[in-house]
Amino acid sequence: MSERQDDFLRQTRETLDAAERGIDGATRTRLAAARREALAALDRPHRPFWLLPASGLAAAATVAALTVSLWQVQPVDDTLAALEDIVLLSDEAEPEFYAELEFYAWLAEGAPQEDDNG
Amino acid sequence: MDRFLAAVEGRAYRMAWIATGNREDALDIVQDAMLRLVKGYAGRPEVEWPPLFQRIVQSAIRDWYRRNRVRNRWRQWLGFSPATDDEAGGDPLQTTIASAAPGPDGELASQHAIDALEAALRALPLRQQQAFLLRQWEGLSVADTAAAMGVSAGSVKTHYSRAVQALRDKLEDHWP
Repeated sequence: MSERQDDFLRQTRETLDAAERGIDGATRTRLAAARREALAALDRPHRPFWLLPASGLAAAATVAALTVSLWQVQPVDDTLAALEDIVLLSDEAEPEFYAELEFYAWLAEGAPQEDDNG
Repeated sequence: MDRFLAAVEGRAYRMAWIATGNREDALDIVQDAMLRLVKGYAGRPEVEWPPLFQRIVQSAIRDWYRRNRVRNRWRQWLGFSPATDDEAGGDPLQTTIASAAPGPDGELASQHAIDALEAALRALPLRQQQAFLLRQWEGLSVADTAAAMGVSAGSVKTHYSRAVQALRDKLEDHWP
């Protein structure tokens, strides 16, 4: 690595450090509040699924209903694309679910059958 | 855990802000990441928290990008124009870089340098942006960066190298 590049990279680190130090007071207050709220979760027991907020259940029901209706009127590919959009736009969905979408798509498109293997 | 989060929250916020360009979205990403770390990994050894937290933050940023892309697609489908950053006209990156020359006092010059760097970082593809910030700012190894980004080590090296080149091309001649 050249000396010039080293200087440039050092300057970027110092600039980013300065940006972090320059976070305004209101934002720092919000971050501290978010941290307190996160830590409070340690003291809260896990709730069973039937006590999930109504909005979460409503979102899940909406996704299910749309999936069924789309599946009836569109090819599988379009349905899965629409389903992915709906899930992504739902804040209640877990990121892990997004990662599994390709698997669900593969499953719906007809995962290799035992017959296919010989 | 409180001390750890207090030490990393500002940097995580700044990374999320660079990625999203939006204060509220950046705060949401950091808040969600803190909650996930606490709920999922508080019982793990402290030494594991930094890479776990970075993995959660970077994953949340990628989710934000995907959601944003979908929102724009649906906006277009519904007849609305997609949200853009350049509605004011001109190239905001070039405007910011051009104003990054030394100002009348050090503080102003420093703010210009911050604005120019953050604008240049935001203009990078997300993977390059993540690779650069994790390697250069967080000081993560190639392996830890790859784990945080969910890609291979080779991919991290490629993205990082391209990011450095792009940033040097854009900034090196303009910075004080």
